[in-house]
Amino acid sequence: MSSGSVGDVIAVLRQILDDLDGAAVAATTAQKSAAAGTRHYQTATEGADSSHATAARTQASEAAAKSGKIARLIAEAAAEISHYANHIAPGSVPTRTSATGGMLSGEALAKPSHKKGSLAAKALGRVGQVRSSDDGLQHFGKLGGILQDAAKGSGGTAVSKTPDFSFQPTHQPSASVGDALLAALAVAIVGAKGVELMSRMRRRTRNDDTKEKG
Amino acid sequence: MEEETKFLRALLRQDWETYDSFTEKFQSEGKGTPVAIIGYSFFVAVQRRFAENKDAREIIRFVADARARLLEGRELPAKEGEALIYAMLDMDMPGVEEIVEDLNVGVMAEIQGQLLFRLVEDAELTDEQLDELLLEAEALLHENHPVE
Repeated sequence: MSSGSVGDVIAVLRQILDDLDGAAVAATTAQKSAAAGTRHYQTATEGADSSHATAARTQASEAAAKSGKIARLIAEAAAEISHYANHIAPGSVPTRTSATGGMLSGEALAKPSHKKGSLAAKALGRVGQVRSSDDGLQHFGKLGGILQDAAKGSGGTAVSKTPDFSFQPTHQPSASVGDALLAALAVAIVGAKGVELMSRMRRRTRNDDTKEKG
Repeated sequence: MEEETKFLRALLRQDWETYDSFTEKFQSEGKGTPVAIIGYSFFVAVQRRFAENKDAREIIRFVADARARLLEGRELPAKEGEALIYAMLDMDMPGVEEIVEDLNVGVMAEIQGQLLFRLVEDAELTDEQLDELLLEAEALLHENHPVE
């Protein structure tokens, strides 16, 4: 059995993510090509009452749908791996959006608007009607608490611009990759629990402080 | 700029002094979470970041990254976070409509707020650029929901 550190595991996961990226791009390209093919078939065979023409349209349409589904499934798989890697070692998988991470400039962007009856319109319609929720500011307070806790945890700013790739190995040097995975997972679970408990304690302390002040 | 928008601005800029001051004021006035301006600001920020490509892969990675960078990543549920972005982009992904409909507006604002913070941070907006985004959201809100 080969031996390796948690860092090795993360390196393997990153390689898998890179491979999945490539596969997703290929599937997305296939989906776009098949969708374009469908439109061409439709144009070319418009009015044609031929079983061959119908079959061509159907198959191109099916190819577009299936390759689109493959692209989605690959993206979901990549997300799961990304979640897992960041669970083992928070921040270990960098954002892949750095090249496109910035928002578009105003010039490059048409004014955003949403169509009536669209998903966006429905969601925005609900919040637009109520303006403010009748929650005594509970949700906004929680939101503030989350960001404040994150700021404390990362030394003053809620999040660092550059993901911190360093982490402490949680295993013996001679442990195998499998052992390292199990150990890292166990620590990650305990760590997550710990974070939750700490967070509750912080919130309770804050609430107590608020009560005392009030 | 309206008070609700200024309140959101303080949160996004991590100006806790102003945030605390608005919290006190809103609580004394019995006002709740300003879900509308959070929702519309989120809409504008999502359009700016993702509208050009509408790439599900990029959205999934963005949410995963946002979760990883928050101590309490579990307060930011991945499925709901992704669904809210898909909805803002009108991307017809499986289950999106149901997931968004099942969220109450307060929880929706919590998730949108965390993602909005990440979007603003990633874009490295200056104070002026953030104001411009928030004012655009405010204008859209008024346009779609005029106060009678």
